[in-house]
Amino acid sequence: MHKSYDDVIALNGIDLNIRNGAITGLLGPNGAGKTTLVLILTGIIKKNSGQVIINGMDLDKNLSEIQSVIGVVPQTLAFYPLLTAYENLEYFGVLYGLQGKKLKERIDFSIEVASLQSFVKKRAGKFSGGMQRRLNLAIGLLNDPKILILDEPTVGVDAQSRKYMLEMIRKINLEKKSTVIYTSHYISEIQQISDDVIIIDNGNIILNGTMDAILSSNKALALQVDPPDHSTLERIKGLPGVTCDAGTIFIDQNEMLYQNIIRVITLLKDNNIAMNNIQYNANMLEELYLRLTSERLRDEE
Amino acid sequence: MKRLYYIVKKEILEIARDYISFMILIIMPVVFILIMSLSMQALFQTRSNFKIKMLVVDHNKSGESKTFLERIKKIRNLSVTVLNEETTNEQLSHDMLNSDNKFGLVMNNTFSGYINDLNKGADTKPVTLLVEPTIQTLTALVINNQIEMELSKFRLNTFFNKNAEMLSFAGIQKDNVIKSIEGVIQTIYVYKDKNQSITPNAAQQSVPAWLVFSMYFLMIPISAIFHTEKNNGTLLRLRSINVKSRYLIVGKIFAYYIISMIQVVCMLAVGRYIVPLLGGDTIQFGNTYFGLFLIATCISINAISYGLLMSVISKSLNVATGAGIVFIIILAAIGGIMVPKFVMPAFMQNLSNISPLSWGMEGFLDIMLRNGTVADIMPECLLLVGTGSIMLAITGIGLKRKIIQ
Repeated sequence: MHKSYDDVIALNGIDLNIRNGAITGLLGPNGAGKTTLVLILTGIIKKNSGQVIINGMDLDKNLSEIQSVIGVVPQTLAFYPLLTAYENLEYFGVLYGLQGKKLKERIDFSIEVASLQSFVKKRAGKFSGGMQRRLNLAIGLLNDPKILILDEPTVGVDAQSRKYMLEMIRKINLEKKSTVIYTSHYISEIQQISDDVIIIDNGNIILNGTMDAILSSNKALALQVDPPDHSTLERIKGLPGVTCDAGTIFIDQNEMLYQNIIRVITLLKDNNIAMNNIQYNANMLEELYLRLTSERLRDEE
Repeated sequence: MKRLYYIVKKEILEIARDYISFMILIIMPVVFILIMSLSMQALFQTRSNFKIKMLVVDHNKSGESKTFLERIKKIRNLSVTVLNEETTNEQLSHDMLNSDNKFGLVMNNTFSGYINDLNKGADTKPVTLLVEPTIQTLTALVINNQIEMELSKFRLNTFFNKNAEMLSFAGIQKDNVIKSIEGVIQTIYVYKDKNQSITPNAAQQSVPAWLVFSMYFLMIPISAIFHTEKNNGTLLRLRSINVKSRYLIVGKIFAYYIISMIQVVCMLAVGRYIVPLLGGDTIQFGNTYFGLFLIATCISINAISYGLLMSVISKSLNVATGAGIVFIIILAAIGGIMVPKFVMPAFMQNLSNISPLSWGMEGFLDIMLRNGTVADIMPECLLLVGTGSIMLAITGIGLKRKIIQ
């Protein structure tokens, strides 16, 4: 699939599958093409070329059918601050085509999911940041979506609201068997919630796989140490499946894992190099992400 | 239909809960109507009902001065209030400056002598005219000439009365002479359009003017809501729900049409019932309520289309409201909203015909002032709906692009 805006290529011939019923984390720096991808999948903008098949339907031919099974939670607070939470839900519910008992059921469900029972008659503009984010999520759930697309849904919320929202998304995914596409800048969130991960940069898919496979195929262990001397550094780097970057030694997940751990720790001990921290799989996704997308600031481009 | 109903309901709820919009759309025009209707009364009183207030003091206290006072009171454009005979010029000035009286007339002690003796000259100063300095020079000159004229006639009349027999003997009839110097000038007003010749009073000008003006101010809440929807992603969300642009536009038009009709009812009610209560002129609704409704509807369509167009073509709310308001004010100034068209020079009156606010204003005046029919307002209605349709077409095209941006 290709998409460009005038001379700027947003999506450069990407080709991907999103697993039905899984939570897929979509990662990428600013301007990588994430939002463009989301906008195309939701039928808001049109691609230049290529084909999108959702639930067996061609997006170009069955737009309204596809849109009826998709729920979107934009990164902005896409509701009306002067309306109450209930009025917002009712408004969007009707626009989704719901009415009568079904409308009320879905509103009640969404209110419960967003834990807004006590605030339904309060104007949305007077909500706290966390409550507004939850209302934003609730609106996206109104049509009981088979596919839920969340674009940075937790930006600017406190830890409690974030944890609550992630739990709810996981719960909906498990109970409703919904497919979830989740974009975020919080890599820890993606690592925590996603079954699959897609990393996109400069309009290209640079990584696409299950979270387990990505984490297990890469760094299993990160050791933060005092900077080793040159000869020790060379000996560490000489070990198969071991890399060293400044004060961090990475040991890959492979059949040599335990041997390599022992060799590295022995080398450190023999050369009196202090070990300051050990991380097992903790920031592996972030390290991988930064390595794949490079660490330069994208805002400066 | 249910979708449309909820779009309309949402728009109305948003405006109803936004007190700034309420102030701009209802309170501001009401205040303008009250201020302009009450403060501009004198300015709008032209020709037949033109009255200038004058205070008069009679220091002479003679039969002649009393007779002259009665003659002054009969001058059609003067409204005379007689003060105590002992009132000094200083007190008279003070009373003038603290009231609506623009002129003060003093009949001095020399008055009766001047009337009775034709040998006495102007140097006796029988009359003093005090003029409030803000009065137009032309008006001061007219009043000065009217007093002089009345004084001359009175003096001549007195002379004739004293010498009636002698003049009769000479074949001169007093009454014929007096009549011969009155009404010798025939005045004919020349109009470009006879129908436009009826000029409004202050309320008849102010009520439709500020009503039309406020209807175009609908563009402020229209832009505010549109740009909020655009910036917070609501438009994208609506597009992801497959809500068509035409639904949004039609929904907004319905909502703002209802609000503009509320404006119409409020402003006309203020003009009809509140302004007269405060001492101002009243307005009439004309012979056709349907005509009134029709012209209000056409103005509403044009104003809403303008608001939607400005919202869609502008990059930000600041641009939309800034440029939008400036444009409305210019069109209002050109279109006879701020300054009545009948006081404009000819080329400005011609220029005013390019302003939609002028079309709306003239439509209202056709019905309310000139007792026009629906046929009389059709040109204005067609212009308003025609340009409104063009603006809506551009809006429809622009909205799709804007959502994606």
